Amino acid sequence: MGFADIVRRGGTVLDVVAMSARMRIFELLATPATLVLTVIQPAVLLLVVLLTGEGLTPAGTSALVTGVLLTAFWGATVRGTGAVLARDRAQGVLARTVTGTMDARLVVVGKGLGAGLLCIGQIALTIAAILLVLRPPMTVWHPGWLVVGLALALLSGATVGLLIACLFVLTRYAMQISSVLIYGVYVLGGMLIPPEMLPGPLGWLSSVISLHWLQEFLTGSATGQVDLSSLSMAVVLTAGYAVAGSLLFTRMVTRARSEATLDLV
Amino acid sequence: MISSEQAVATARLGVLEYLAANPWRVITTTQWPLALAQCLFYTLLGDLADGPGDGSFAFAGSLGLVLALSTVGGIGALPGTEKWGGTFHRLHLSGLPPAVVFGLRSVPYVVNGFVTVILSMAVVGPVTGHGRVSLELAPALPILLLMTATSAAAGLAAASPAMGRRAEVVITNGLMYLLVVTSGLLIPAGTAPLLDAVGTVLPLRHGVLAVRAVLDGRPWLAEVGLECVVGIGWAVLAHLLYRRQAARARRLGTDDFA
Repeated sequence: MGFADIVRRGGTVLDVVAMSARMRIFELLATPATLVLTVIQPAVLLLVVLLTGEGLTPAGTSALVTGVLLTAFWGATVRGTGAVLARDRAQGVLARTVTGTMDARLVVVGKGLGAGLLCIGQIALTIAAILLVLRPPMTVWHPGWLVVGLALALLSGATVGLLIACLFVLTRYAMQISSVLIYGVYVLGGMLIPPEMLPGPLGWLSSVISLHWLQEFLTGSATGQVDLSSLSMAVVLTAGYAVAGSLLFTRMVTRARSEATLDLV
Repeated sequence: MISSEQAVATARLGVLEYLAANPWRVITTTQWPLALAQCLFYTLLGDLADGPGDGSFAFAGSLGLVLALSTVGGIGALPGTEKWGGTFHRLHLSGLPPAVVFGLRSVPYVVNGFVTVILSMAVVGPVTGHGRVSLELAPALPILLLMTATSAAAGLAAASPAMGRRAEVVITNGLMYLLVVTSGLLIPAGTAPLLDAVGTVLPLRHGVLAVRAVLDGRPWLAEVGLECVVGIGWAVLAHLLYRRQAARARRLGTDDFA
């Protein structure tokens, strides 16, 4: 394969990812339920921590705001990205996706990136609006590190979304399971609730959640103590989610084609 | 009106429908863990924000939210099943009051909501160091049962305008989060006048004030009375909304899209 072919192939891949992202953004914009996790929930969580907090330090407030952002993003990832395959199946287009000329994983990751971009934007706007109204004293994130952290959150959401999407297509009770998954990680993920507050045997679980490490990294960037080891952990975990999601997706599609068990056709 | 036989049959249908959508294995592996996780999350969130007291404030409030999960969240989605199932017109033709039919079919949600509260008291209380509070809350269980009924009425009323607009999730979840902010469950009453003004006409607020009064050994009967009044108000509103919706659907021929 020559250089020109590689460039052409790369362009096609980007096209598929961008098209899928765009499509998912329009799907979510037409789904009012998205606003629950991207506007209503972050607003409520922020109001609860800011209105009940007594003697919050500026750094503590920044940590809570970061926590609210990542917590809401997790919920939106599970519903916005994790539901991609189940939605495709319900609409009868999953078979077309997995039998297309391009790798279907690109479609799922592209939709995940689109969902993540929209959700992070809506959550950030909601948080900014509340902070403008309440004006709590807080330290500000380093803009460059903030962009790096959010970009990695976006990527992490898309890869973990691929993993979850495969699981949700295997059950009729995806909605119920997704709710448990959302609140389970809210509690154990170490984004808003520090792992030290959890009962001993449960504290370690946050170490396998990339958003927990991004919380550490972004909180550090707001206090001038940039923690690159946390950023590295988030990168490693994101890569791990991508590999696991990719393998699971291949396995799922192979099984569906050989046994016709997933309502693909 | 509805006869006692029809009422029993409707309630039985509600239980069967609930168990078909939520088999026991789903109830025990997703619904109950979700309720426990939500209670744990909001209790720890209250502790984290260093709210009033030793964290028991947030724990007692979180129990109210556990109720709302099943009543507002669950019952709020119930009327929508008629729309998705394409059977709303049959309910309209039956001549039975829709709000009463939905209310009877809500019984399993109410029971599940109350059971999840007891589970949360038994599990989350000791785990978060509020085991003693759980025991002290035992005499307040009838008040929590009342709160289950009042929040169920609000969930039913909220579902009516949401139908036909693809807004069930937004409106019922919106109501649930409105309760989080305004009902004094996590943010103490008196923090912001606007929140107090809204919260006073919503369910749970007076109930949770009564529960806190029981915990503190203060008089609680007046707040229970107010919770009853608010609950009856929401039930009447639900009845009127569904009656109007049915009449409108017949007049305009919208039925499932009403």
